Amino acid sequence: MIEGVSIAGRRLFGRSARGLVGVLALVGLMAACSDAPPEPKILPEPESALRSPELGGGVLPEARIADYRLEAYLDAEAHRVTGTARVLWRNTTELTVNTVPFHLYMNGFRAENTAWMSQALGRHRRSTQHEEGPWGYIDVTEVTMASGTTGDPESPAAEAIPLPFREDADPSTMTVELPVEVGPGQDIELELKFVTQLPKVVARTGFGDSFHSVAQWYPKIGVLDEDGWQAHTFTPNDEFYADFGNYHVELDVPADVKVGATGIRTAEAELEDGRKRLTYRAEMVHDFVWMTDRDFVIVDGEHKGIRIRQLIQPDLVDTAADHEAATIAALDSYEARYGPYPWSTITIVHPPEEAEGAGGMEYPTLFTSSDRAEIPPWFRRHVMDERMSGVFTTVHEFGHQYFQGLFATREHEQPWLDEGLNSMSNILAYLDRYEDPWVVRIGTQKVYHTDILGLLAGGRRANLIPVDSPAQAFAGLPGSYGVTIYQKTATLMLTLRNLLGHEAFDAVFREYGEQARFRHPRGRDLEGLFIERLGSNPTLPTRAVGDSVQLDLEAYFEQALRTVRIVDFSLGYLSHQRLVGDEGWRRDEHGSLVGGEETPWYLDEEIDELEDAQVKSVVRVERVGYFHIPVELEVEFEDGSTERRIWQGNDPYKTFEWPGKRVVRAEVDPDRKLLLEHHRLNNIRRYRPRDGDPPGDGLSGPVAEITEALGWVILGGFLP
Amino acid sequence: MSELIQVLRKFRVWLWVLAIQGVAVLLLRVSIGSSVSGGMKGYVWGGGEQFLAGLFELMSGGGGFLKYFPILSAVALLITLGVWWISLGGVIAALRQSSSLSSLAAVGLRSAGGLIGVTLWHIPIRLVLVVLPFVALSKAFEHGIPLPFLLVILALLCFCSFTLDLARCRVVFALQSGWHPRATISAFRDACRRPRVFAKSALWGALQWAALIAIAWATLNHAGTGSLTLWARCLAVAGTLFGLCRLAVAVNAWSPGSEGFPGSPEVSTQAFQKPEEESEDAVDPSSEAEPEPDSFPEPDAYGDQNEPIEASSETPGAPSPRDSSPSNPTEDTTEPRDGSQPETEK
Repeated sequence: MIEGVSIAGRRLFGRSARGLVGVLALVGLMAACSDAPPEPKILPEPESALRSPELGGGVLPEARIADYRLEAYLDAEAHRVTGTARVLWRNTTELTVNTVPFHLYMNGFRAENTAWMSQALGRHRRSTQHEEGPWGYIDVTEVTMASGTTGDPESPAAEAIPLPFREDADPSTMTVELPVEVGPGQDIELELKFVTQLPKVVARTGFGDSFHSVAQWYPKIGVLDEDGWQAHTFTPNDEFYADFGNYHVELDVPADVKVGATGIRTAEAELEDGRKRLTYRAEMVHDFVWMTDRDFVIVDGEHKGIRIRQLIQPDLVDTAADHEAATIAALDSYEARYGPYPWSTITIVHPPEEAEGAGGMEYPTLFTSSDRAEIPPWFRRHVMDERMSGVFTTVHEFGHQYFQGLFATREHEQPWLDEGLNSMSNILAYLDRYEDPWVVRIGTQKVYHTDILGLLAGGRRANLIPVDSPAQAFAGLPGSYGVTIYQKTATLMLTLRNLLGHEAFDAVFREYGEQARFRHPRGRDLEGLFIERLGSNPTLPTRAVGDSVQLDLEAYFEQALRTVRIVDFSLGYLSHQRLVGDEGWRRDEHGSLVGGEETPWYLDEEIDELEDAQVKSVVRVERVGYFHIPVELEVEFEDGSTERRIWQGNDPYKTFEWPGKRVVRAEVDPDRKLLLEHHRLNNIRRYRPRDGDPPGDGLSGPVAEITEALGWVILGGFLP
Repeated sequence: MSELIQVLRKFRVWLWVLAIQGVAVLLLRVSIGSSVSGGMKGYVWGGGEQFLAGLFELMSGGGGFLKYFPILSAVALLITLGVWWISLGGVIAALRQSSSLSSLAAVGLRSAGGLIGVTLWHIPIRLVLVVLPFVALSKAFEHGIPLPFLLVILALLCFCSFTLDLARCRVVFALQSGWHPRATISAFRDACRRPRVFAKSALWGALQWAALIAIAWATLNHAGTGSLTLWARCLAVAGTLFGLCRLAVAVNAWSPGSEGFPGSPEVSTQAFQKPEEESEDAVDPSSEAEPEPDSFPEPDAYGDQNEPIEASSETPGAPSPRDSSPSNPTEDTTEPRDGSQPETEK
C-alpha cells in the first residue's frame, strides 16, 4: 500500500515530490531528535501521616470517632475487591443507640432503579454508564461484633458475635441490629466482610482498562450527632459525610501496578503469584481511597514539608509541573486564609482518558484532577491562553482538603458550605497567586472569574431554588445544582467581602477556619460568626460622601442564602435641569401681581447656555431586582472631578441632585462590588459625550470594528 | 515582481475586488454595530477596553443581537459570493488583457457557473490535502506543530490555491466545464509540471496569508482601541493585491510569451470549437506523457475584438493553437485601451 502510494506520487509529482519527501524526512528527523523529558523524581514516604503540630496545627482528639482497619484483595482482571473492614466506633453524643447504619455507596451503581442511577439516568458529568461495563455493587456477607465494647481495632477481637443486618429501601445504606445498646461514651467494634464489584467508571469510582479508582468501596458507618444518625441515601448530588478516625489499610494488589492512596505507605512486601502487599496509615481522615494503574508515572514534589505526589499518565508528564505549581499556590493561599494543612502528604491522581469520570474528585489527602487543554505554547502566548483547564481543577480539588477533608460539613444537607465556599476560595487563591488574575485571555481581551461568576450566578438556573437547600432539592433540576451551589455561593460571598471590606471578611474566615477544623460546622455557625465578630449592622467602608450606611447581615444572609431574589440596579435617569428661580407673577406688598413680563424657558437644548449656578443635575438610581442591598453611585462632573454617594437600596428608587453642578456621567456600583448583579449593562449613563470621550456606547464600536476586521480576513482569504 | 506591476497597472480590477469586499464588510460592520448599539438601549459599557464581559452579558440577554447576527452574516456572505463569482471571470480576463467592461461582464456571466464548480471541487481537495494533515499533525504534536511542519502545511495550502487558479483559467480561457472534475484534475497535473511557476504563486499566496494573519493579529492586539480599523483596511488592501498577483501568475501561465503551458494543441483547438466535448481529450494520457511546453491554447477573444469566445471559435478557419504564439498578429497588434502594453507580453 505504501509502495503504491509512493509510485503514484512519483508519477504525479516527479522531482517536486522528491523534494517534498526530503523536506518531510528532515522535519521528521528534527522532531525525533527533540530532547527527552527528564526522569521524574520520587521522594521517600513521610514518617508520619500528620505534620508536626507546629506546622500542621495539630488535630482535635475528640473528633476521632471511627477507626478502621481495612484489608483488601484486588482482582484486577475481574475488577473486584474482596475485603474485611473492622470498625471501632465511639459514641460521643448524649444519645443511646441500638442500631448502626452503614453506607454502601457502591450499591448506587447496582441497578438502574437505585436512587443514584434513576436520578442520574446513567450519566455523570460527561461519562455514561457503559453497556459493556458491569454494574457496580458491594455485597456485605457477614457482620460480627467483638465481645467487648472497648478495644483497639488493630488487635483481633476475642470472640465474634454474628449480627443481623439488612439493606434499606435504597441499597446504598444498610442497618445493623446491635444486641446491646451503646450509650454515651461507650464504643463498639464491628467487623464486616464484603465483596465490591467495581463498575466501569461513570462517576468517580470504577475501572478503565488497567486503571482502578477504588473509592466508596467499603461499608462506611454513618454519623451520629445531636439529630440522630446521619446516613443519607446516595444520589448524584449527595456526596459524602463521615466521622474522622485513623485508618490502617492493607492492600493485596498485582505487583506491576503503581498505587496512590490516602495517607502514607508504611510497608511494602512482595507476595507469591506476582502480587504485593502495601500497608497504609492515615490519621484523622474520614475516608480512605486508593487508585492503581500499571501506566502511572510517579512525579514527586515537596512544599513546606508536605510531599506532593502525582500519579500521572506517561503522555502528560510534562504537565505535572503546572499541577504542582497550582497545588503549591492553593496550599499557600488556603493555609494563609484558613489555617495550616494538617497532613504530611497530598496525592494527585490523573486518571486515563478511558476513566475520565474519575477525574475532578476529592478524598482525604488525595484528589483526582483533569488534563490541561492541549494548546500549543505559541498559541497560548500570542492568541489565546487560559488558566482553567487542569490547573483550576487542581486548585479546586485541593481546596476540598479544607472544605470537605478538614471541615467535613454535611454535604448532603448544606452543600454550599463545601462546594460553594471552596469555589469562593479558589478565586481568592487566584487573586493571591496572580497579579492579574484573568482566567481567559484572547489577545488583549481578558476574562476574569468575577465576570464568569456574575453571568452564571445571575442566570435563570441559578435562581430557581435558594442556595441554602439540601442537595436532594436539586434532583430534577438539571444544571441548577452547579451554578447555584458553586457559582452563586461564591458570588454572594465575594459580594459580601467587597461590601464589608477584604480585611474584615478575611479575618472572619480565618477564625472560621480555626473553629471548623475537624468539627463538622453548619451554615448557622458561619453566619453567627460574622454577626458575632462584625455586629448585626456593620458600617460599610466607602469613599462616598454623606451619611454612612450599614449592612444588615442577617437580612443579607437571609436574602442571599434562602431566597432567590436578584440584585439589579439601573441608572434610570440623568439630566440637567434649570434651578427653580423667582420668575413669573408674584404678589407685592400691596397684594398686586407683579413681574411675569418674561417667560422662563425650560427647553433642554438651552440648558447648556445657562450659568452653572442656574442648573442642577438630577440622577435617579432604580432598584430593579428585589434584593435589598446598599449600592454606591459615582458621578463625574464637567470639570472632571468625581463624587460618590451610597444608598441603602431598600426603596424602589433614589434621586440624587447636585445644584450648581453639571454631571456628565453617572455609574451605579463603580467598583463592581456587587458581583451578584448579573445585569450590569444598565449601570452607566452619559449626559452627553464630551470632547475626547470615546464615541458610542463603548461596546458597539469595538464589536463593529472586530466584525469588520474579521470580515476582511474571511473575504480576503476566500475571494482572490 | 512582474505580477505586481501587472496588477498595479490594472488598478481598476484591484479596486473592483476591494469594493466587493468592502461593501460586504461594511454591511456587516454597520449591521452588527447597530444591533449591539440597539441592545445597549442608551446605556454605556463601563469596562473600558475590556469589553468581552459586556459582550457576553449582551449575548446572554438574547434579544436582537443574537437573532440577527447569523442572518446578517449569511446575507452579507451570500451577496458577496454572488457578486464575486459573477465578477471573477471578468477579473481573470482583465488580468490577462484589457477589454471593454461589457465583454468582461459577458465573460464573467458565462464562466460564473464553472468557477463555482471548480471552487466546490476544491473543498474536499483542501480537506484532504490541508485540513486532514493539519489535524493529524495537531494530534501528533500535542504541544504545538513544529515550524517546519507548519511550513509544509502552508506550502500545501498555496499549492491548492495555485491549482484552483489554474482550474479557473481553464474554465475562463479554455471553456472547460468547472463542474466536471477534469478541469480540476488537469489543473493539478499542470501545477505539478510547473514547479517554478508554483513557487512564484506560493510566494504571492504566502504574502496574502501573511497579510490576513496580520489582520487577525491586529484584531487580537488592538481590538477595542479604535486603531484596529485602520490597520485592518490597510492590510486588506495589501492582502487583496497579493491575492490578485497570485491569480496573475496562473493567468500568465496561459499567455503567449510566458514559459508555455502544457497541453495538446488539438485539445485546445477543440475546446474553443466544442467546449463540452473536447475536455475528455484534455486529460488524454498521451498528452501528459509528452507535454509540449511551448504550446498554448487558442488565442482569446478578449482583446479589442470585443467578441465572446464562442463567436470567434465558431468562425470557420479559426487559427490553430500554434497560431496563438507571440507571432499571432491578433495578439501582437492589439493595444490595450488604457494605452499600456499588453501585460502578457514578456
